[in-house]
Amino acid sequence: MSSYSQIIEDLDAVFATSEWTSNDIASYPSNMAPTGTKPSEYVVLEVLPSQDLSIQYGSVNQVSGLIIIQIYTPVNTGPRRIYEISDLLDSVLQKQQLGEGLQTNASALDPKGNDPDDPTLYRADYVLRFTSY
Amino acid sequence: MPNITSIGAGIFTSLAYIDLPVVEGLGTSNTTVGRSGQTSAANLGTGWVLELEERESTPTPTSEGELIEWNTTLASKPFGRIREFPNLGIPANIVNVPQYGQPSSSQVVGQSDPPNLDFTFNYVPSVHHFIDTMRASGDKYLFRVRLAAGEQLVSTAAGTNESGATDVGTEAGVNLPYEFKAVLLADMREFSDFWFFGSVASFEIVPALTDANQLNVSLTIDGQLSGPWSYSDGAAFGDALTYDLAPTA
Repeated sequence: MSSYSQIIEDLDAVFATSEWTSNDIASYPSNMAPTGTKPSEYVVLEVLPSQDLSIQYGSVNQVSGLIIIQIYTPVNTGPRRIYEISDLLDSVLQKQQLGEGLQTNASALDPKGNDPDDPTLYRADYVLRFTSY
Repeated sequence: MPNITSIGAGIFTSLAYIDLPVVEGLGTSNTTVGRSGQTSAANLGTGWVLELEERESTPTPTSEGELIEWNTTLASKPFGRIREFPNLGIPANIVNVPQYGQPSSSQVVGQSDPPNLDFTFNYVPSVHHFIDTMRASGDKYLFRVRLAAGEQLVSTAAGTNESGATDVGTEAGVNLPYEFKAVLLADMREFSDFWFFGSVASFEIVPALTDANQLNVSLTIDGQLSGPWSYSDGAAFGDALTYDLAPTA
Protein backbone atom coordinates (compact mmCIF):
# COMPACT_ATOMS: atom_id res chain seq x y z
CA MET A 1 0.00 0.00 0.00
CA SER A 2 1.47 3.31 -0.95
CA SER A 3 -0.82 5.43 1.30
CA TYR A 4 -4.37 5.80 2.57
CA SER A 5 -4.91 8.87 0.43
CA GLN A 6 -3.85 6.86 -2.64
CA ILE A 7 -6.61 4.34 -1.90
CA ILE A 8 -9.28 7.03 -1.96
CA GLU A 9 -7.76 8.66 -5.03
CA ASP A 10 -7.79 5.37 -6.93
CA LEU A 11 -11.43 4.80 -6.05
CA ASP A 12 -12.56 8.36 -6.72
CA ALA A 13 -10.96 8.13 -10.14
CA VAL A 14 -13.36 5.34 -11.09
CA PHE A 15 -16.32 7.70 -10.72
CA ALA A 16 -14.65 10.26 -12.96
CA THR A 17 -14.27 7.88 -15.89
CA SER A 18 -16.57 8.23 -18.88
CA GLU A 19 -17.57 4.62 -18.36
CA TRP A 20 -19.28 5.67 -15.13
CA THR A 21 -20.30 9.27 -15.88
CA SER A 22 -22.15 8.10 -19.01
CA ASN A 23 -24.62 6.41 -16.64
CA ASP A 24 -25.68 9.85 -15.47
CA ILE A 25 -25.92 8.79 -11.83
CA ALA A 26 -24.69 11.39 -9.36
CA SER A 27 -21.95 10.16 -7.04
CA TYR A 28 -20.72 11.69 -3.81
CA PRO A 29 -17.91 10.85 -1.43
CA SER A 30 -18.79 10.07 2.16
CA ASN A 31 -19.12 13.07 4.47
CA MET A 32 -20.46 15.09 1.57
CA ALA A 33 -24.19 14.50 1.32
CA PRO A 34 -26.06 16.28 -1.47
CA THR A 35 -27.53 19.55 -0.29
CA GLY A 36 -30.51 21.48 -1.55
CA THR A 37 -32.54 19.59 -4.13
CA LYS A 38 -31.36 16.01 -4.10
CA PRO A 39 -31.09 14.00 -7.30
CA SER A 40 -33.82 11.40 -7.66
CA GLU A 41 -31.14 8.71 -7.43
CA TYR A 42 -27.50 8.87 -6.42
CA VAL A 43 -24.68 6.88 -4.82
CA VAL A 44 -22.36 7.68 -1.91
CA LEU A 45 -18.88 6.19 -1.81
CA GLU A 46 -17.60 4.99 1.54
CA VAL A 47 -14.23 3.31 2.11
CA LEU A 48 -13.29 1.35 5.23
CA PRO A 49 -9.59 0.36 5.04
CA SER A 50 -9.91 -1.22 8.44
CA GLN A 51 -7.90 -4.43 8.36
CA ASP A 52 -4.12 -4.36 8.40
CA LEU A 53 -2.38 -7.24 6.68
CA SER A 54 1.02 -8.42 7.85
CA ILE A 55 1.89 -10.46 4.81
CA GLN A 56 5.34 -9.15 3.96
CA TYR A 57 8.55 -8.34 5.79
CA GLY A 58 9.92 -4.82 5.49
CA SER A 59 8.44 -1.36 5.47
CA VAL A 60 5.72 -2.00 2.88
CA ASN A 61 2.26 -2.38 4.40
CA GLN A 62 -0.82 -3.97 2.97
CA VAL A 63 -4.34 -3.19 4.04
CA SER A 64 -7.72 -4.62 3.20
CA GLY A 65 -11.21 -3.42 3.88
CA LEU A 66 -14.61 -2.69 2.46
CA ILE A 67 -15.89 -0.36 -0.20
CA ILE A 68 -19.51 0.43 0.52
CA ILE A 69 -21.51 2.24 -2.13
CA GLN A 70 -24.77 3.48 -0.71
CA ILE A 71 -27.36 3.45 -3.47
CA TYR A 72 -30.36 5.74 -3.09
CA THR A 73 -33.44 5.50 -5.33
CA PRO A 74 -36.96 6.89 -4.96
CA VAL A 75 -39.35 4.98 -2.68
CA ASN A 76 -42.32 3.11 -4.10
CA THR A 77 -40.55 2.37 -7.38
CA GLY A 78 -39.65 -1.25 -6.68
CA PRO A 79 -36.21 -2.81 -6.29
CA ARG A 80 -35.29 -3.14 -9.96
CA ARG A 81 -33.37 0.14 -10.22
CA ILE A 82 -31.21 -0.83 -7.25
CA TYR A 83 -30.15 -3.97 -9.08
CA GLU A 84 -29.54 -2.12 -12.32
CA ILE A 85 -27.28 0.40 -10.58
CA SER A 86 -25.46 -2.47 -8.88
CA ASP A 87 -24.79 -4.02 -12.27
CA LEU A 88 -23.39 -0.69 -13.45
CA LEU A 89 -21.16 -0.55 -10.36
CA ASP A 90 -20.04 -4.12 -11.03
CA SER A 91 -18.90 -3.12 -14.49
CA VAL A 92 -16.46 -0.54 -13.12
CA LEU A 93 -15.57 -1.88 -9.67
CA GLN A 94 -15.89 -5.62 -9.32
CA LYS A 95 -12.67 -7.66 -9.61
CA GLN A 96 -10.70 -4.71 -10.87
CA GLN A 97 -7.12 -3.58 -10.39
CA LEU A 98 -7.27 0.12 -9.66
CA GLY A 99 -4.16 2.26 -9.70
CA GLU A 100 -0.99 0.33 -9.06
CA GLY A 101 -1.87 -1.87 -6.13
CA LEU A 102 -5.54 -1.76 -5.25
CA GLN A 103 -7.50 -4.87 -6.10
CA THR A 104 -11.21 -5.46 -5.60
CA ASN A 105 -12.96 -8.77 -5.12
CA ALA A 106 -16.50 -9.95 -5.85
CA SER A 107 -19.39 -7.73 -4.84
CA ALA A 108 -22.51 -8.24 -2.75
CA LEU A 109 -25.72 -6.28 -2.43
CA ASP A 110 -27.51 -5.53 0.82
CA PRO A 111 -30.93 -3.81 0.45
CA LYS A 112 -31.56 -1.72 3.55
CA GLY A 113 -35.08 -0.43 2.97
CA ASN A 114 -36.41 3.08 3.38
CA ASP A 115 -33.82 5.65 4.39
CA PRO A 116 -34.62 6.75 7.95
CA ASP A 117 -33.12 10.19 7.27
CA ASP A 118 -35.19 10.82 4.14
CA PRO A 119 -38.54 9.02 3.72
CA THR A 120 -38.52 9.76 -0.04
CA LEU A 121 -35.47 7.51 -0.61
CA TYR A 122 -34.86 3.78 -0.61
CA ARG A 123 -31.34 2.59 0.25
CA ALA A 124 -29.23 -0.42 -0.61
CA ASP A 125 -25.55 -1.01 0.13
CA TYR A 126 -23.32 -2.35 -2.62
CA VAL A 127 -20.34 -3.93 -0.82
CA LEU A 128 -16.91 -4.91 -2.13
CA ARG A 129 -13.91 -6.25 -0.29
CA PHE A 130 -10.63 -4.74 -1.45
CA THR A 131 -6.93 -5.19 -0.77
CA SER A 132 -4.29 -2.56 -1.27
CA TYR A 133 -0.91 -4.22 -1.80
CA MET B 1 25.07 -3.67 20.89
CA PRO B 2 24.17 -3.88 17.19
CA ASN B 3 23.38 -7.51 17.92
CA ILE B 4 19.76 -7.54 19.04
CA THR B 5 19.44 -7.09 22.80
CA SER B 6 15.70 -7.12 23.38
CA ILE B 7 12.59 -9.05 22.40
CA GLY B 8 10.60 -7.83 19.43
CA ALA B 9 9.02 -8.80 16.16
CA GLY B 10 11.48 -9.22 13.31
CA ILE B 11 9.49 -7.02 10.98
CA PHE B 12 12.49 -5.90 8.96
CA THR B 13 14.16 -9.28 8.60
CA SER B 14 15.62 -9.78 5.13
CA LEU B 15 17.37 -12.32 2.94
CA ALA B 16 20.25 -11.51 0.61
CA TYR B 17 22.97 -13.46 -1.12
CA ILE B 18 26.40 -12.88 -2.59
CA ASP B 19 26.36 -13.41 -6.33
CA LEU B 20 29.86 -14.89 -6.52
CA PRO B 21 31.05 -18.49 -6.95
CA VAL B 22 31.68 -20.42 -3.75
CA VAL B 23 35.13 -21.98 -3.42
CA GLU B 24 36.82 -24.14 -0.84
CA GLY B 25 39.31 -22.41 1.46
CA LEU B 26 39.80 -18.68 1.17
CA GLY B 27 37.90 -16.61 -1.33
CA THR B 28 39.18 -13.62 -3.25
CA SER B 29 37.51 -10.29 -2.68
CA ASN B 30 34.98 -9.38 -5.40
CA THR B 31 35.75 -12.63 -7.25
CA THR B 32 34.87 -15.66 -5.14
CA VAL B 33 33.44 -16.48 -1.72
CA GLY B 34 35.53 -18.84 0.35
CA ARG B 35 34.06 -21.27 2.84
CA SER B 36 36.91 -20.36 5.16
CA GLY B 37 36.58 -16.62 4.66
CA GLN B 38 38.06 -13.97 2.41
CA THR B 39 41.71 -13.13 1.85
CA SER B 40 41.02 -9.46 2.36
CA ALA B 41 39.72 -9.66 5.91
CA ALA B 42 40.90 -10.65 9.33
CA ASN B 43 37.98 -12.92 10.10
CA LEU B 44 35.27 -14.87 8.37
CA GLY B 45 32.39 -12.60 9.12
CA THR B 46 34.11 -9.41 8.10
CA GLY B 47 35.22 -10.92 4.84
CA TRP B 48 31.82 -12.20 3.89
CA VAL B 49 29.91 -9.11 4.84
CA LEU B 50 32.28 -6.92 2.83
CA GLU B 51 30.99 -8.68 -0.26
CA LEU B 52 27.53 -7.27 0.50
CA GLU B 53 28.00 -3.85 2.06
CA GLU B 54 30.54 -1.14 2.72
CA ARG B 55 30.67 1.72 5.17
CA GLU B 56 31.84 5.08 4.00
CA SER B 57 33.32 7.60 6.34
CA THR B 58 31.44 10.80 5.63
CA PRO B 59 28.08 11.22 7.38
CA THR B 60 25.25 12.74 5.37
CA PRO B 61 22.99 15.20 7.22
CA THR B 62 19.32 14.21 7.02
CA SER B 63 16.14 15.44 8.64
CA GLU B 64 16.63 12.79 11.31
CA GLY B 65 20.26 13.57 12.01
CA GLU B 66 23.48 12.63 10.35
CA LEU B 67 23.37 9.24 8.68
CA ILE B 68 26.58 7.40 8.08
CA GLU B 69 26.85 6.30 4.49
CA TRP B 70 26.51 2.61 3.68
CA ASN B 71 26.36 1.22 0.18
CA THR B 72 26.04 -2.14 -1.51
CA THR B 73 28.73 -3.87 -3.52
CA LEU B 74 28.36 -5.28 -7.02
CA ALA B 75 27.77 -8.85 -5.84
CA SER B 76 24.99 -8.00 -3.37
CA LYS B 77 21.57 -9.32 -4.35
CA PRO B 78 18.30 -9.17 -2.42
CA PHE B 79 15.40 -11.58 -2.16
CA GLY B 80 12.50 -9.12 -2.08
CA ARG B 81 8.91 -9.42 -0.86
CA ILE B 82 9.40 -12.19 1.67
CA ARG B 83 6.20 -13.41 3.27
CA GLU B 84 7.42 -16.19 5.53
CA PHE B 85 10.80 -17.28 6.85
CA PRO B 86 11.59 -20.86 7.86
CA ASN B 87 12.90 -21.94 11.22
CA LEU B 88 16.60 -21.11 11.30
CA GLY B 89 19.00 -23.39 13.09
CA ILE B 90 19.47 -27.06 13.76
CA PRO B 91 16.37 -29.16 14.42
CA ALA B 92 16.42 -31.73 17.16
CA ASN B 93 16.84 -35.41 16.40
CA ILE B 94 16.17 -37.16 19.63
CA VAL B 95 16.44 -40.93 19.65
CA ASN B 96 14.64 -43.06 22.22
CA VAL B 97 16.90 -45.83 23.54
CA PRO B 98 15.24 -48.85 25.20
CA GLN B 99 16.71 -49.64 28.60
CA TYR B 100 16.57 -53.29 29.62
CA GLY B 101 14.73 -53.74 32.89
CA GLN B 102 13.68 -50.10 33.18
CA PRO B 103 10.08 -48.86 33.06
CA SER B 104 10.89 -46.14 30.53
CA SER B 105 13.41 -45.66 27.79
CA SER B 106 16.03 -42.95 27.82
CA GLN B 107 16.84 -40.40 25.14
CA VAL B 108 20.03 -39.48 23.34
CA VAL B 109 20.76 -36.83 20.77
CA GLY B 110 21.29 -38.37 17.34
CA GLN B 111 22.74 -36.88 14.21
CA SER B 112 20.52 -33.96 13.22
CA ASP B 113 19.08 -33.64 9.79
CA PRO B 114 19.71 -30.34 8.07
CA PRO B 115 16.77 -27.96 8.45
CA ASN B 116 14.29 -27.42 5.66
CA LEU B 117 14.71 -23.81 4.58
CA ASP B 118 11.36 -23.12 2.96
CA PHE B 119 10.78 -19.47 2.16
CA THR B 120 7.51 -17.99 0.96
CA PHE B 121 7.38 -14.85 -1.17
CA ASN B 122 4.60 -12.60 -2.39
CA TYR B 123 5.28 -13.55 -5.97
CA VAL B 124 6.08 -10.88 -8.54
CA PRO B 125 7.41 -12.51 -11.72
CA SER B 126 9.56 -9.56 -12.76
CA VAL B 127 11.19 -9.51 -9.32
CA HIS B 128 11.60 -13.22 -8.61
CA HIS B 129 12.49 -14.72 -11.98
CA PHE B 130 16.15 -14.83 -10.98
CA ILE B 131 15.38 -17.45 -8.32
CA ASP B 132 14.42 -20.00 -10.94
CA THR B 133 17.64 -19.23 -12.79
CA MET B 134 19.51 -20.00 -9.58
CA ARG B 135 17.56 -23.25 -9.21
CA ALA B 136 18.27 -24.32 -12.78
CA SER B 137 22.00 -23.67 -12.39
CA GLY B 138 22.29 -25.68 -9.18
CA ASP B 139 25.12 -23.38 -8.11
CA LYS B 140 25.94 -22.82 -4.47
CA TYR B 141 25.84 -19.35 -2.95
CA LEU B 142 26.39 -17.71 0.41
CA PHE B 143 23.11 -16.45 1.89
CA ARG B 144 22.57 -13.96 4.69
CA VAL B 145 19.46 -13.65 6.83
CA ARG B 146 19.52 -10.32 8.64
CA LEU B 147 17.19 -10.44 11.63
CA ALA B 148 16.01 -6.92 12.43
CA ALA B 149 13.21 -5.42 14.45
CA GLY B 150 13.88 -1.81 13.43
CA GLU B 151 13.79 -0.31 9.98
CA GLN B 152 17.04 -0.66 8.10
CA LEU B 153 18.56 1.33 5.29
CA VAL B 154 17.49 -0.14 1.94
CA SER B 155 19.71 -0.09 -1.10
CA THR B 156 18.73 1.46 -4.39
CA ALA B 157 19.44 0.08 -7.85
CA ALA B 158 22.88 1.58 -8.44
CA GLY B 159 21.64 4.96 -7.20
CA THR B 160 21.93 7.17 -4.16
CA ASN B 161 20.32 5.62 -1.10
CA GLU B 162 18.85 7.34 1.94
CA SER B 163 22.23 7.61 3.64
CA GLY B 164 23.62 9.55 0.70
CA ALA B 165 25.90 6.75 -0.43
CA THR B 166 25.96 5.46 -3.98
CA ASP B 167 25.01 1.81 -4.24
CA VAL B 168 27.23 -0.22 -6.51
CA GLY B 169 24.86 -3.17 -6.55
CA THR B 170 22.42 -3.04 -9.42
CA GLU B 171 19.36 -4.25 -7.52
CA ALA B 172 17.35 -2.39 -4.92
CA GLY B 173 16.25 -3.97 -1.68
CA VAL B 174 19.38 -5.12 0.14
CA ASN B 175 19.17 -4.16 3.80
CA LEU B 176 22.09 -2.05 5.00
CA PRO B 177 22.95 -0.85 8.52
CA TYR B 178 21.04 2.23 9.67
CA GLU B 179 23.72 4.15 11.51
CA PHE B 180 23.73 7.66 12.91
CA LYS B 181 26.66 9.80 13.83
CA ALA B 182 26.17 10.49 17.53
CA VAL B 183 28.72 13.19 18.51
CA LEU B 184 31.96 11.22 18.76
CA LEU B 185 30.53 7.75 18.42
CA ALA B 186 28.19 6.07 15.99
CA ASP B 187 24.81 4.63 16.84
CA MET B 188 23.60 1.70 14.77
CA ARG B 189 20.18 0.08 14.84
CA GLU B 190 20.34 -3.48 16.04
CA PHE B 191 20.38 -6.53 13.83
CA SER B 192 21.80 -10.04 13.89
CA ASP B 193 23.11 -11.81 10.81
CA PHE B 194 22.99 -15.53 10.06
CA TRP B 195 24.99 -16.99 7.18
CA PHE B 196 24.72 -20.27 5.36
CA PHE B 197 25.96 -21.84 2.15
CA GLY B 198 23.31 -23.43 0.01
CA SER B 199 21.50 -23.58 -3.27
CA VAL B 200 17.96 -23.15 -4.56
CA ALA B 201 16.21 -26.52 -4.68
CA SER B 202 12.64 -25.69 -5.63
CA PHE B 203 10.53 -22.97 -7.20
CA GLU B 204 6.76 -23.32 -6.88
CA ILE B 205 4.18 -20.69 -7.76
CA VAL B 206 0.85 -20.71 -5.94
CA PRO B 207 -1.85 -18.53 -7.56
CA ALA B 208 -4.33 -17.14 -5.07
CA LEU B 209 -7.93 -15.98 -5.44
CA THR B 210 -8.25 -13.50 -2.58
CA ASP B 211 -4.66 -12.95 -1.51
CA ALA B 212 -1.34 -12.20 -3.14
CA ASN B 213 0.07 -14.87 -5.43
CA GLN B 214 2.78 -16.75 -3.61
CA LEU B 215 6.08 -18.37 -4.41
CA ASN B 216 7.47 -21.23 -2.35
CA VAL B 217 11.23 -21.66 -2.53
CA SER B 218 13.27 -24.29 -0.74
CA LEU B 219 16.95 -23.72 -0.15
CA THR B 220 19.34 -26.51 0.64
CA ILE B 221 21.85 -25.78 3.35
CA ASP B 222 25.40 -26.98 3.05
CA GLY B 223 26.95 -27.17 6.48
CA GLN B 224 25.61 -25.29 9.46
CA LEU B 225 24.09 -21.91 10.01
CA SER B 226 26.66 -19.39 11.23
CA GLY B 227 25.57 -16.61 13.52
CA PRO B 228 24.42 -14.41 15.06
CA TRP B 229 26.98 -11.91 13.81
CA SER B 230 26.92 -8.16 13.95
CA TYR B 231 29.12 -5.08 14.04
CA SER B 232 30.87 -3.68 17.05
CA ASP B 233 29.03 -0.87 18.75
CA GLY B 234 30.09 2.63 19.53
CA ALA B 235 32.96 2.96 17.10
CA ALA B 236 33.68 6.50 15.95
CA PHE B 237 32.19 7.06 12.55
CA GLY B 238 35.62 7.44 11.00
CA ASP B 239 36.95 4.22 12.50
CA ALA B 240 36.82 0.79 10.94
CA LEU B 241 34.13 -1.44 12.36
CA THR B 242 34.66 -5.03 13.34
CA TYR B 243 32.11 -7.61 12.39
CA ASP B 244 32.49 -10.72 14.41
CA LEU B 245 30.44 -10.13 17.48
CA ALA B 246 28.33 -12.93 18.77
CA PRO B 247 26.37 -12.08 21.93
CA THR B 248 28.48 -12.43 25.05
CA ALA B 249 25.63 -12.91 27.51
